[in-house]
Amino acid sequence: MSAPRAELRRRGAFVTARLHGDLDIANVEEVRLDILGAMPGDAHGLIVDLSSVRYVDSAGVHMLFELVRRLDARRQKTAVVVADGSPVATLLKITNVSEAVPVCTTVEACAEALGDDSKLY
Amino acid sequence: MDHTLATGAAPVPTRLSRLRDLLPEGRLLPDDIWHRRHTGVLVLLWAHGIAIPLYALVQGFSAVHAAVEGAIVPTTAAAAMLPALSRRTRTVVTSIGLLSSSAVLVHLSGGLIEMHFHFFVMVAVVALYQDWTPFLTAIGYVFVHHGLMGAIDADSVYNHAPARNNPWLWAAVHAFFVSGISAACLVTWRLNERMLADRRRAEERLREESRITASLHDVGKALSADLDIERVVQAVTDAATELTDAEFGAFFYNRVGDDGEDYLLYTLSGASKEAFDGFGMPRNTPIFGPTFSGEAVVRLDDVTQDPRYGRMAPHHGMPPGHLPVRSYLAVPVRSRTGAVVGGLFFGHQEPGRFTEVDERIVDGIAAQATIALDNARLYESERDARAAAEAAGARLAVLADASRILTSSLEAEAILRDLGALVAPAVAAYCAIDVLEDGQGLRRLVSGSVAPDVGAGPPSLDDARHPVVRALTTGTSQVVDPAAGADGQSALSIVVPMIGRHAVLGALTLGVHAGSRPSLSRADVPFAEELARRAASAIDNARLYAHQRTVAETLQHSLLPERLPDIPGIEAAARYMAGGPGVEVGGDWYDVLQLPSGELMVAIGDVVGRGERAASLMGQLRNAVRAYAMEGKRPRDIADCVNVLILGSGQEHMATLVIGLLDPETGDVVYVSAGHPPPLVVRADGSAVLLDGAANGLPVGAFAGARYADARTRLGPGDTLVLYTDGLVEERSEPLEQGLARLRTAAGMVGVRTLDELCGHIVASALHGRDVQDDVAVLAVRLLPLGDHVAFRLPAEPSVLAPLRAVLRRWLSAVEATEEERYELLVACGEACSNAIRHGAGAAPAEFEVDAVLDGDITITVRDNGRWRPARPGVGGRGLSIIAHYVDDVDVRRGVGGTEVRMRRRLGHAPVRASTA
Repeated sequence: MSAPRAELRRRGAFVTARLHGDLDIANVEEVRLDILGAMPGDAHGLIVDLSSVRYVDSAGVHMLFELVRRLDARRQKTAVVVADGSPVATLLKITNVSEAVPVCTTVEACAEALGDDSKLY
Repeated sequence: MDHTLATGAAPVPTRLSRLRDLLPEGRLLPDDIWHRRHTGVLVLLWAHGIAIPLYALVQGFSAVHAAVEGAIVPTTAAAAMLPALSRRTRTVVTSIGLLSSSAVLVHLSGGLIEMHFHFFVMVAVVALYQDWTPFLTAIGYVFVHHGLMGAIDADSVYNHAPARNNPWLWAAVHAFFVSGISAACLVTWRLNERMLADRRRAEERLREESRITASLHDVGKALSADLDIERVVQAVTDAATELTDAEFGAFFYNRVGDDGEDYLLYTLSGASKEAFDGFGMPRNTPIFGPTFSGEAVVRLDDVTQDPRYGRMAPHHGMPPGHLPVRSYLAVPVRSRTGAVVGGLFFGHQEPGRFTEVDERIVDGIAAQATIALDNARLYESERDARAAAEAAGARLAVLADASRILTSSLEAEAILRDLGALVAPAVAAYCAIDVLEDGQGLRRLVSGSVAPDVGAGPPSLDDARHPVVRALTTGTSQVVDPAAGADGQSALSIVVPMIGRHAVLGALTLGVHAGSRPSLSRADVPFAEELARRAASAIDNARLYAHQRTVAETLQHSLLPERLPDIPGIEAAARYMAGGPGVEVGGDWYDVLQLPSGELMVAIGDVVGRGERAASLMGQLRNAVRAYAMEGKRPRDIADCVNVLILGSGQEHMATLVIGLLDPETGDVVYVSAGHPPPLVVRADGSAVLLDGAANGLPVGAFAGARYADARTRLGPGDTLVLYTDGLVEERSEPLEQGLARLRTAAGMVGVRTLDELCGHIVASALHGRDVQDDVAVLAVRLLPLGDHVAFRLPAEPSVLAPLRAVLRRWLSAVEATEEERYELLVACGEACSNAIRHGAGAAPAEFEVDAVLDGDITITVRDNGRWRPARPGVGGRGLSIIAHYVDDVDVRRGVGGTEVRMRRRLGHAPVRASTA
């Protein structure tokens, strides 16, 4: 099964990965590899945009932690965008994702949260 | 004929002979005519015998004197009547009597000059005998009488002095004048005689001519009535032999056989064939040569005396035992074109039997024979040509029928059987077709009645001398022609190899039986070869077709889904019926594919055209559609992409298709149609609707500029979407609308339970008993109605999670859960299912069950047949804690047969944080 492709974009010092559809055990591994494969070494960080994702479960959460761990090793930071008050936001709280990485409602907010010295274009 | 040889030299005419020719023959007067004339002259003589004594008495002579004076006349008259005397003697005696009458009358008249005229009258009278002796008698009588009497009593004879003085001289003078009248009479008479003879000869010739003409006419009539060469030749021989009075006659003539070789035949008349047995045919000897070369007629009074006779070894003459021949006549016989076709020969053991007339008769008969033979040959060749034309016509008809048969089917054996049946009674008594089987020798198909010596079974390939094996190994046609076949046995047979594109495929044998129809000849070899060529081509095609069909069928079957995926909340069924036998596989396909998005792709298509290439394109299309759908493209975009793909691939095929995406949660269907018959929706209440309102695009692969548009419909619970290919509704004899109407009626029938039954019912009703001509594909997808209790048994694969969520979403909406409740229950269920999938593996087939019940609360149970691992930090643990967050109560039971997770939540308020057991 192929995953809903992550829309990856370079935004200044950051890369945004906008995900669609459902994230479950059927596709999280592919999405993770897609994102990691597309992360340039000079990027300061990754912003995973889950605002268009309809379903995320523990497999998605596990993927986020994996991303954080791998990028942290490269000294790159990770932030997550979710719609405020959405079920996904709730899930991230339940699973302590929001304690590990910045969880914001917009990409800009995430970028700001990730680095004072970085600019958004 | 050019000229006549050896008929004897005519004497050279001389002056003397011409003078002699003027003398009458005297013997020429026929006896009866002589007798009539003689009688008349005798009457005259007797009249003189009576008149003279009377005249003497009148003149005053005494009776005695009168009697004595007149006695000479009756004396000669009586002598002339004696039959014992010869004609000539009686003629002379009569003449003497008449001349003496003149002399007596002159004497009795006393020398009256007028009485001398009587003498000349008498000379004219004796001319009646047409003999020169009376004239000689007259001349001699005058000379002797005048000379003698002048010497005795000159005054009684002469009336002038010089005569009286020289009586003999003047007797000669008188005789000279008598000679004069004699000569005049003789010449006149001789000329008449010759004229008469000429006329008689002319008449004779005329009679002869007419006799010949009549004979020839009779012969000609008899000949022209006959068109059989053998009989004509015999009639010619018989007629000529009879007319020439030959002892025997023969006609040697050339015939040209079927094989183009000349040979000499002969007929005999007047002798039996045995008489000439063992002599051999006449050769080009000096005697026979001029006849066979057409140089001249040869007529010999005695052939054995001819210098050309007996010159040739070994016999130097007639071979021993030959009928004796002296008289010989040989006449060449020519055809109308002038070529010598034979010779007529006649023989007689006596010399000099054949006359010029015979020669002319035979020559005439030869001319008649020429015409008759030419006619007979023309008739024969015309008859042969007609027979050949009829035979050729029959063979052409067979070839035409053969072409029809050979192209009517693609099954080699059926084709060859039909071919054999076509040939065997019509053209040959039997037809045996031996086909080389892979490594198994020959297999024989037989039509007609095979001669026992040919046999119904194929020959062994080891039998190198068998004509079939020879034909196979040499690749050339074989003609078997037993010199003399007994009745019912094989006579002529023709064996021709069937040579295919790449190899010799077998051999075809045509044969006939001795003495019965139909007949075959060597001339039929090209026909047999043509037949074999077509048969070989048909076998090639059939084998190639069988190969292609196998390839295409394999390809097609490998491309059609082996089974439709199990999709929770969705029922799917399909039917595929290949077109009738002898039809290439079509390019129909259908597909059902679960997409990662949770949507279900349903597709059906029909590649225009048939065969391996159509099936191959179908495979490409199916995969392309799948790939584009997996990428998340919308139906319209998929159609665009596929169109570009086909056009870019250089394929000449087009395809019609419908691609639809069904959202199992809402029942929304987005679909595109590229020139395909409209999808059908069968409502839960049994009504059927054709989705023919939406725009239908061009078939893909038709036009680069084609644009496709998405159309939408919605399936309610229990509604069915039916996709099909045109084989289901299209029939040549009726408009498409009729087929569509029939489909709609059939699909709307109530009382159909399962979707599979519905498919069967649709196919059976829409085809209404007709044979499937085209391939037919039907795909039906039903959105199952969901009650308060839904249950799914699913394979333990990650891909089932999306459709499961889809159907649960629909169910949860149906049971009026809020969006948040729906999400949390889906996540809880998803965690349980993910665990079931992860840990259920190891037992085959790995399956799990999901059971959802609304009974005031919602209870979802997930059961697997694996073993639930103890909670530990990480994935499993996080999942369970999520579940605990989202439901009021969770119960995990691990057992030997598997693990069961039961989750319960009350709708309408936030979940109490559940505790895990």
